[in-house]
Amino acid sequence: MDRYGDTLERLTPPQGFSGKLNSVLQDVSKAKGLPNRCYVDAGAFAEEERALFREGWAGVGFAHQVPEPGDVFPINFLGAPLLLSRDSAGTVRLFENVCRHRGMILVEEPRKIEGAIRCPYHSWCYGLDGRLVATPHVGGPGRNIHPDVDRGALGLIEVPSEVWMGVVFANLSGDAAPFREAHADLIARWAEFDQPLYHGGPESSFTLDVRCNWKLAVENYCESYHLPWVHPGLNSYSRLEDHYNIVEYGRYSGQGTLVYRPQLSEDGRRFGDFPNLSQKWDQGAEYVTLFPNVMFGVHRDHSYAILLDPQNVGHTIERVEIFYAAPASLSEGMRDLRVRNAEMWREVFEEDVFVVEGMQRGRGAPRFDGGKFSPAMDAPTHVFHHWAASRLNGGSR
Amino acid sequence: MKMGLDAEMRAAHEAGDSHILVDLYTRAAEARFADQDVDAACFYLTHARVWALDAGDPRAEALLMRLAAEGRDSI
Repeated sequence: MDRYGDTLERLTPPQGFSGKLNSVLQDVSKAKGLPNRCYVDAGAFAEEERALFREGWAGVGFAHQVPEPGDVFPINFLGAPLLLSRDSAGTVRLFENVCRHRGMILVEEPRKIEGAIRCPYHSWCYGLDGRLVATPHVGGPGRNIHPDVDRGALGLIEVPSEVWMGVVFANLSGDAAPFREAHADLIARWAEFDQPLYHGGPESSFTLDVRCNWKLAVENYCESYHLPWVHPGLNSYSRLEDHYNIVEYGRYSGQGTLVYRPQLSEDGRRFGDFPNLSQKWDQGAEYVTLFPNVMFGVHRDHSYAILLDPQNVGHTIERVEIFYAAPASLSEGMRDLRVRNAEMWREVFEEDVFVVEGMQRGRGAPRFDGGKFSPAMDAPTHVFHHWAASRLNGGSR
Repeated sequence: MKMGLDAEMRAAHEAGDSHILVDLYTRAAEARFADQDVDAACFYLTHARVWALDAGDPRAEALLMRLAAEGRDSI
């Protein structure tokens, strides 16, 4: 869809779901999936933007995009211009990327701020902490103050943000419960991985451009049912029965494996592990979606995050970043292994593209009713649908 | 002299050299102060400070002090 089409789509007024998704909110044995409209209708997408993304915590970027103090990185997320920054104290912060004067975009490209963030329009200047520090000629030529322009009240608008597992989460509405309170359960589940992460560099970063609604990527990621069919390469060592469902209604879902095998080079090199992991993780790994839009994988020696960046109702960009547990894994001597690991994951994720795009086209079938879940195999997907339907129906955040 | 300064300013703007712009706008301000034209001088001082802020140039602080002393800015 072209940019003009995107704009028209965003202007379509949401129609609301109040109470219309009750068929999803049944036990998994009786429930239907979300209806077609949730995948093809621009109004439904607008409603999701509000209820699923803006009013909660959505992944919008990555901390390694601003590695040093003074770095700024503009982000456009669901039409919202954001500015990721690292202040002089090294803290990652997120602001709306607009001048408080005329709403001009402040920063167009990633760069290092040497002094202040200067608006290119009338040169109002902001510190990296967001304070408005200069309003040139605001009181007339050569007069930089005016009694009706209170600089103290006109700093950049800061968006609540939190960095977890390398991902920058944002609460765009500004009124959600704190991230670590809202997601305390998954944070506790993976407390052993709440350690420094080392991004693998350019070879550990890639994107997939998929012609599907963002939810289909989540739904496919949650469950292991498809693995033997879509990823036959895994069958030799990772059979379906080696996986378990992760089912936490109202919170998160996914799958785990009992047979993770770390990457090995021909000469026996391997990535270093996170320190002090319990025995569970010797061969265990877990793959969880933190709703709405960040899909994580954790292993003894590396983790990854896939940030879903919805472009419109039927178009999603998947941003994949791989992190390592040990600084030594970033050495030049380990580059070949990092490249191989990224290629392995890219191949797996690309194998999923035909199914998410196929399901998207399937949502054009007029009489498809949301689908029938396997109570044994599809509960993680139902957890996601239940979470989405609850919020779209007007339930708690 | 004035034409020379204008040409230097245009070149510095074109080059995006904020440190040089601080020099040039400060020079322009000094010339106007010498002419007792405080309004014009503060116009140039304002630009000198903005470019100093832009570049992280430490002269930004002294320029602010000078503007504040003229009642044209606040600290």
